[in-house]
Amino acid sequence: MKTVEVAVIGGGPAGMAAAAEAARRGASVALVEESATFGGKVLKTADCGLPLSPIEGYEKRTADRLLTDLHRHADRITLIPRHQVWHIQDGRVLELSPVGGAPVETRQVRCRRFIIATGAMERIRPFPGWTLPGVFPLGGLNSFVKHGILPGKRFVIAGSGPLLPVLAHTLIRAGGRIAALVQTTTHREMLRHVFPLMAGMDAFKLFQGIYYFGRMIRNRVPIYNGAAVSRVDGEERAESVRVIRLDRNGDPIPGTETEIDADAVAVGFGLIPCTDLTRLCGCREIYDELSGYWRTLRNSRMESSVDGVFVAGDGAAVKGYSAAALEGTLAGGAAALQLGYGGEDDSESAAVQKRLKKATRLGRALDQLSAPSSGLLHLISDETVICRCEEVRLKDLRQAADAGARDIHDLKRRTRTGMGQCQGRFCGQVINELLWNLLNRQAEDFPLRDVFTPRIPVKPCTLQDLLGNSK
Amino acid sequence: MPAESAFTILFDGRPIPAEDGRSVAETLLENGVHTFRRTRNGEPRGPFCNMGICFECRMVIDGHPNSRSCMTPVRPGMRVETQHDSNIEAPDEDR
Repeated sequence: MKTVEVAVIGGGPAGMAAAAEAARRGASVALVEESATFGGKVLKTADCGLPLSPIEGYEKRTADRLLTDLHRHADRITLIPRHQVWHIQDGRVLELSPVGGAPVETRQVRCRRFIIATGAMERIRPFPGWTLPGVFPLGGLNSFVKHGILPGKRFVIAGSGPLLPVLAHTLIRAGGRIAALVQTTTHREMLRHVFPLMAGMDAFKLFQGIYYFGRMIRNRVPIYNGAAVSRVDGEERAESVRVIRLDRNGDPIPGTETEIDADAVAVGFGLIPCTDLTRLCGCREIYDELSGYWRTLRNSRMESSVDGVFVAGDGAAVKGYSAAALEGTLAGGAAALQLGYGGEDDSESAAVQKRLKKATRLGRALDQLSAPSSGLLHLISDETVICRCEEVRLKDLRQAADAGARDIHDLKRRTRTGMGQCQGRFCGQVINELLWNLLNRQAEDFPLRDVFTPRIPVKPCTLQDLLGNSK
Repeated sequence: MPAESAFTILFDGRPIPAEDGRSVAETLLENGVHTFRRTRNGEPRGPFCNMGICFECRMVIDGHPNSRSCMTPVRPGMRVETQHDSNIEAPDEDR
């Protein structure tokens, strides 16, 4: 067992900044990260053999700066890469297991304060054919292409949110052919959101947006506005994609489908926080109707409703990497202050509060712009897989609802939806709406929005991992 | 690709070229492999989230079933096999 004063879970921008700040103030720190490198998904360095674009250059400098800060206090920070946290015991002991065949570094970290910085994951919507090989979420495909892997010849990328132009840009640079970029957003919606977005943006983000769209137009990427992928067909992998037009409410218009040849498809609708560990710890959260996801409640020092548990970055509410690093610094500083280390209380700084407020406004505007309409769920057919892990289809859920299932826990027990390896991270995003639809009720008459109960191990691990921890 | 960092791994018994620093999922996709797993119903599945949370890309790696290929770096001589869920899970009557 490793004992430190502050444990940080997640080595992205928030976690790196949190670890560096707590150590700078004198605390001993452990930083646990699932992958082999630090920087998170967002700042994962592009490695496709091409010179860096201005945006990649900026992101690389940001990642380098975070790494330098981390290494400056290396004597007080234990880095634990390639390990995942599958349980948090008594709020003070992290249970770890190695990832991807890594040698065991340590199986337990005991700490006095911990900071959850687990970042965001992609918002998905099931549709017919979304389980075929060659279909990805936007970020999943983007991280392959960033590493120089092109898993297809003709790409269709679809959905909403900032990852869509990012992926288009990555694909263009890597030499991928984009057969269509399909966005749910209509011109009207774009206009309605552009001004609040611009007001919240710093000059760099504004430049980034203009740069990405410029690249798309110059490369003559066919763009479909106010449309969505309605299904993907293929035998062993994606072969063709159907695109359907959406009406003003975002609902699909029957009879407006176009077929496009494509062997790689990416669909996503913005980002939502990864909340498995905060939920396990019992941190209070609220469902934000505007953003369309659960956000963790925190005070200005990033402390959650549970004493000594801090939550920083996109794992609490999605605001992007600059705000995540700032929140990480606040959390790291506050955790060290609680342990008796000196220094300023940064959360009282007006400048910091102003930056965070701006990032929150921008994050919410992007959330709102990328939130998919409930009408997209009508694309799901009876045979569509909802829970990928347990292969539960809409017809299975319908059968369970017809047989009397009235809440998502009952659905889970009857069909195994949400019981698989991913612990309901994907099907859990739509299970409430699907149940309401199956029962022919509207959210308003059936206001109880529910979440699957988190269960340990939060990430699957071997029996050996469990036994190793009891020694 | 510098020669010293290139090697082969075995995919379903067949040698395929690999490169240091890549994940198993990246290596297979680069070599045109798209089906990583067969579900209980025999449906093909490939990698999806590529960040270790969806578990769709799980394979039998060096004899260990349910290994996430997106989180596992390639090593010289590694044995990677398509995972057939029907072969490694409890039969239906035990479920």
